[in-house]
Amino acid sequence: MSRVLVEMKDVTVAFKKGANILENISLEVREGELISLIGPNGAGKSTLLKAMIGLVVPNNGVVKRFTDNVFYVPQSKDLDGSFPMSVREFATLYGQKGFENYLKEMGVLEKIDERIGSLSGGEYQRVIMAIALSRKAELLLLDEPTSGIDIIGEQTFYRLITDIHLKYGISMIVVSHNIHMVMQNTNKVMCLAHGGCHVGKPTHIKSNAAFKDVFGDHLIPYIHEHEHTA
Amino acid sequence: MNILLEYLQYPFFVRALVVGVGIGMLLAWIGNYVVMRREVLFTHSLSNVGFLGIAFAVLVSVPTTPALLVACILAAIFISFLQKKNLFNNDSLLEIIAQISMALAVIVISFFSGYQINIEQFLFGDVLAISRGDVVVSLIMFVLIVVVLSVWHKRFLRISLSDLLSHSLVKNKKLWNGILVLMITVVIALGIKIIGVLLVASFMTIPSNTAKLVAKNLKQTFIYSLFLGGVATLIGLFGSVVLNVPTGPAIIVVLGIMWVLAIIVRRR
Repeated sequence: MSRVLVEMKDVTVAFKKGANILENISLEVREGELISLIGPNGAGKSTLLKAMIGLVVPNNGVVKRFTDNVFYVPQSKDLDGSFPMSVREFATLYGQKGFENYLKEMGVLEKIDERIGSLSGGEYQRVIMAIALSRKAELLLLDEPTSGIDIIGEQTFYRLITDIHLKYGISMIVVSHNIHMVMQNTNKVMCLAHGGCHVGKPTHIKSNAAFKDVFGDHLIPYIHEHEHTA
Repeated sequence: MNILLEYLQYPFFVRALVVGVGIGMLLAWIGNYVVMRREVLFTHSLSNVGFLGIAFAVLVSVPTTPALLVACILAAIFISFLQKKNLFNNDSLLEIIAQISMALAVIVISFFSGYQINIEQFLFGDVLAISRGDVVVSLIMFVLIVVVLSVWHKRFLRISLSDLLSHSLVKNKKLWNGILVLMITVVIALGIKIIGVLLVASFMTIPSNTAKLVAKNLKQTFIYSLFLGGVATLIGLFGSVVLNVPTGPAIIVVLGIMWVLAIIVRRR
């Protein structure tokens, strides 16, 4: 059994009294896992990731991190892009030597002398991932990395993270709304619905009542087909 | 020119020059972190609380510098407490505190006789009336803060630029963030005493936003803003003497002219 990187036990998060975003969530993330985190809008996917990294403090329960080398890749840029800072300067400030190789691997090396503020959200996320790789990150938390990207771009991105996952063995949790895409590319699914979290392989999750309740039955034929071709 | 040379012979003017330029540069440097953190309103809010602190200190006849420091630090803690409660938008919270503090300060000042003159003094400070004691305190604080900023500049930059990335990279981030907020608070308090509420907010905001228009990288932004802070104080001080206008507003106008020029240069 591989090493546990993050363990959550009975975690509850509420920003207002009586309105729990997460309720009694228990899960663990292990070394080398590529996990899809799915759920409807407002299910608490970003909150779950932020609780894992310590950006959100749970009202109840325990979050144990067995590594500090965890990077959260946000949905959008979280910096003041009006400052004249190149991608090179930015990566030098946060990354480690050799970040250029990782920028190349993430397909953003040609942006190295452009302003960090001029990058698109997707390009910025790739820069963050390159920084994380240069720092030998053990866990990457990708918060809707393909929002606003067309279907071909989405496929390319998932191919990229699958390659990175296989090459470096880095654990990843990917939040996405595209169920077909995440089922096809990941080997473990966390389904957040109604405050709870249901964890399992795509084949197991498909029969989960909460999953059906949220996403309906339309995925089942797709998963069957995927199983036969696998 | 003769007037300027004549003024340079007065110790009070030289003191104003040295301390004014020093505090202007320090505020401009720290202003870069503040602008990056998008906390300009925090500065505004804290300045107004400082204004209230100094007014109250004068009213009850206690030393103004400690009163200012205590008021600003308590306000920073109170703001941080309310921010964590998530009850309001950050800008609304900071503006509410700024407005209430200003209103209370004006009411406190109205208890003094001839209060209109006092308001102007508090708002724009009295850089020409800096005492030797102020010079010593300012120099000690200046050196201390410059040393801390120089040694841990990279760390403060990481914290200020990206909250999420620094969360992964900076060990004891809460502590370092607290140190940076404390330094910003102390510099604001020091600035209010010497150059007044309005100048503090101007120095925290305008040099950084001017420098980033013409700088090619982040390092240049910091260097240019330092330079702008110092030069604006010099020109404003001398300009106020020559044109016989108030010093504080003169410095703000110089900063404003530099900002407009930077916009024009940037467009070309």
